[in-house]
Amino acid sequence: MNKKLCMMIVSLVAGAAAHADTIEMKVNGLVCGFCAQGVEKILRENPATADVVVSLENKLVVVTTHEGKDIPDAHLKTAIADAGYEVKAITRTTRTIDEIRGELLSAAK
Amino acid sequence: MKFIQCSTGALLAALVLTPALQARPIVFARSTTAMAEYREGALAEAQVFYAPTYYLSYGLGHFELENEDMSARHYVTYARLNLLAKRWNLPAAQGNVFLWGGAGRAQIEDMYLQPAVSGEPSEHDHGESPTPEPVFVPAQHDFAWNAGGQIDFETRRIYTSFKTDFHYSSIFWHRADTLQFGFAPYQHDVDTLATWFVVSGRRYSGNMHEGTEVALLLRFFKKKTWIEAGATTDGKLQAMAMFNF
Repeated sequence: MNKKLCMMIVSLVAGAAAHADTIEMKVNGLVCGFCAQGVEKILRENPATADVVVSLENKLVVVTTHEGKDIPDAHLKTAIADAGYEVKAITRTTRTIDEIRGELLSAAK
Repeated sequence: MKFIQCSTGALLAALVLTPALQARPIVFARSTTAMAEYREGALAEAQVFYAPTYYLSYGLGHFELENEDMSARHYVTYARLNLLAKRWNLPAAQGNVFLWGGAGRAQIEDMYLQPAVSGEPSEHDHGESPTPEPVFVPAQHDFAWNAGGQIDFETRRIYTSFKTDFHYSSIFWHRADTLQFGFAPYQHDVDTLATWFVVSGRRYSGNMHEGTEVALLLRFFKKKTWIEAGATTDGKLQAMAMFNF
């Protein structure tokens, strides 16, 4: 019984960790599609990046990394600065990028 | 070439209301931008720029001007360096100052009327003389340099900009100052079509022609493509396309 409980806990923790590779950034200066393309292009040049979503409405840039990979905050700030914009906040979330994409689409309707 | 002689009041109104999404010489880092612009009775211009960083781009451009009486055409082909000198990133807005400069070759082609070639008279001829054909021949050329700048402020609903562009050579010079105001009826996002209504006021000066024009433009923008078209207040076509890749 204890063994099963331990396995469940390990499974839950592992599940949470698997989603911990989604990074949300609040970014200033995003006002047009070209801004979004520039940010996305720079972030995708990082080999750890799996997917990127940009929302002008929410001033939000979301990055998900490949499993087992991470992008340090300092690298994220540098990447956004290299695109010409400014990071105001970085948070790591257990939500998947697809969940965030879905929420953004729902909010836009 | 005839330019619009609008009233001072109309011009001021356009300038105060002003500006709309004006094309930028630098779009984003590691991108190539191709632009083409046509202003009926005034000029045609094409540019290609590559931006290795978000604050620098370089490339080539070519523009053609006609003088007011259509007696000559003026060309400038140039290489240019563009610099984003300053950017302000605000939570829901962005402001920029661009500067540029370059050098190239200016050329004038003079027009003369070549008598139309007339063959053997036919039964359809009724004594009318053939219409002369305008022909342009290279007349002068010289080194030319150019410089300019742009300042803009943009949100997802409004855009305002002022741009000045100056070309100089010993055979002619040309300057265009453009003030634009743009209004978006809705706020676009990354995957939606952006629509802008634009009022554009432009003043030309130089030793070929001078004048002021006001144009109303409709602009569409999505992903990598930007297209705008409209007309001046005296009905002359204006159009521009920009592609980014």
